[in-house]
Amino acid sequence: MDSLLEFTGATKRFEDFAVRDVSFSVPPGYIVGLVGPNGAGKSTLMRLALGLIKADGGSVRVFGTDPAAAGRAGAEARARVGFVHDSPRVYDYLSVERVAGIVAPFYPSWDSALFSRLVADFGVPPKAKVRSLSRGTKMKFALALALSHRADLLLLDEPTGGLDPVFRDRLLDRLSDVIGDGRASVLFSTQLVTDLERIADFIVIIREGRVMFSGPKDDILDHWAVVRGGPELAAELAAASRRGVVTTRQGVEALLEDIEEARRLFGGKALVEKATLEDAFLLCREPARREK
Amino acid sequence: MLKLLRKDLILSGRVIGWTYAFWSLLWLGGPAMSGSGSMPFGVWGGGVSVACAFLPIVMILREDKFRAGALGCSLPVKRDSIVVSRYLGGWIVALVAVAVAILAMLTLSLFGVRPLLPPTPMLPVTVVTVVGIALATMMPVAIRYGSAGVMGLLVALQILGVVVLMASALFDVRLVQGIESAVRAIVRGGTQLRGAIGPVAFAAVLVAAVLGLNYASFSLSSLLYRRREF
Repeated sequence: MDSLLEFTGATKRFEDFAVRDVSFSVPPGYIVGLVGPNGAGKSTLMRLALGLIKADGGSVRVFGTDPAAAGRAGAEARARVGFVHDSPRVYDYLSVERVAGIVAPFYPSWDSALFSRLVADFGVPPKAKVRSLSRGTKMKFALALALSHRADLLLLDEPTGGLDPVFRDRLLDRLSDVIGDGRASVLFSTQLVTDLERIADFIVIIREGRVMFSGPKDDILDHWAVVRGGPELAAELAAASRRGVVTTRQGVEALLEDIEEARRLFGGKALVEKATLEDAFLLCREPARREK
Repeated sequence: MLKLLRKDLILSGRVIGWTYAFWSLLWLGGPAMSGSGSMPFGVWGGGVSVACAFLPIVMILREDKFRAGALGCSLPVKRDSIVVSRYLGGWIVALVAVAVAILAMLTLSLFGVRPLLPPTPMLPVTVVTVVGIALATMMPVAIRYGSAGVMGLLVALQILGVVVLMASALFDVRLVQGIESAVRAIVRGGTQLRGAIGPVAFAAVLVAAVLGLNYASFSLSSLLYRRREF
């Protein structure tokens, strides 16, 4: 088993939305950032990975097992997973330590001392009722729960939502520590590209339920180019880009995968710059083809 | 299993306590104030059993309200284990609640309040039968469809009752009489069986039938819960 989490052509249909043909993997010892706009399908992929919903097609494997499998294998896989849902799913009239007391017995590797340290470190009052916590503090509490059983795979659905910049920074550092020994991995979804720039090794860009890109972050930062030109270049850029072309009020912007080629083709007639992750996030429009 | 039972009891302890306290006022206060002493203990126990069978359903609906099912299914437990704990926990909560109500009523009678005809040896069988039938009917709906499902079931049953009454009144269809005859036939059949095999064997058959019904209900619930998405 090479990957801790693997989507292979996974498809899930709802009445008014679907994620289609999603393929990417989370290798051991890496942080994979899942980025996409609201409604892109990030939470659906997280729910598929946790086995809360079943794929209609393709497969989802967590530690080599279908997480939605009814038997013992699915449960054993989940024992190695730490999770943060997009919104807290707990009884909010209970106190922080009470909720932890409910969750802890399910994990043989639960570390009470670590949990106490984390809630103290995150500034979460252990005696406070969950309902009295701010959204950001609830998220910190959920993170403390997820980190306290030393999971091999962390599935974090928009964990930085509602967090102040200072704590977000500390959280990202902590996630880097989690994968420090090369054993654990993190899949975390976000709408904030700056989070990914800090810590992600791999990027998955998802839009309207389809993966637009999945691969190493450095592929984008080292090789990709964004070309900005006048409207007269629209056809030429559309022919050259297999990633995405967007027409703006100022002209046309296109993503190209090879900055050298972009300079050769458009150097004299358009502005060619190294692409940032934000460029990739905003401009990537074409579904990914066979990236790893 | 114990971890799941403990989780459910902690999460729902407060709401069960409040619901039970409120109902206690009705089922202890009502008979105590009537003073007629004409209601058999078994009939009263049956009514209390129906009410107490709703307590585990309240637990499940409470979980639905807080969308905490996703938490339970994200934990390292099998979905079948969650369903087992629901049935086991449901039986425990309902039977303990009925037992406490009966003990309270007996205690009241020790202090001179005698609103009910005395209990018979069939009382435990009545309680198990009523709790078992109520749980077996409601559990699959609550487990698969949550609060919307239970409300839908209860409303549908009420509408069915109204339709039956209206149909009987408007079209001279003898539906109500038909239902009454069916119930009488079941009671008569039970009485004849009891007379034929004796009360102990009859109680055993009844309890076995209720347990069988619950096993079928559990199997259906497991099947449905495996397909539930959060």
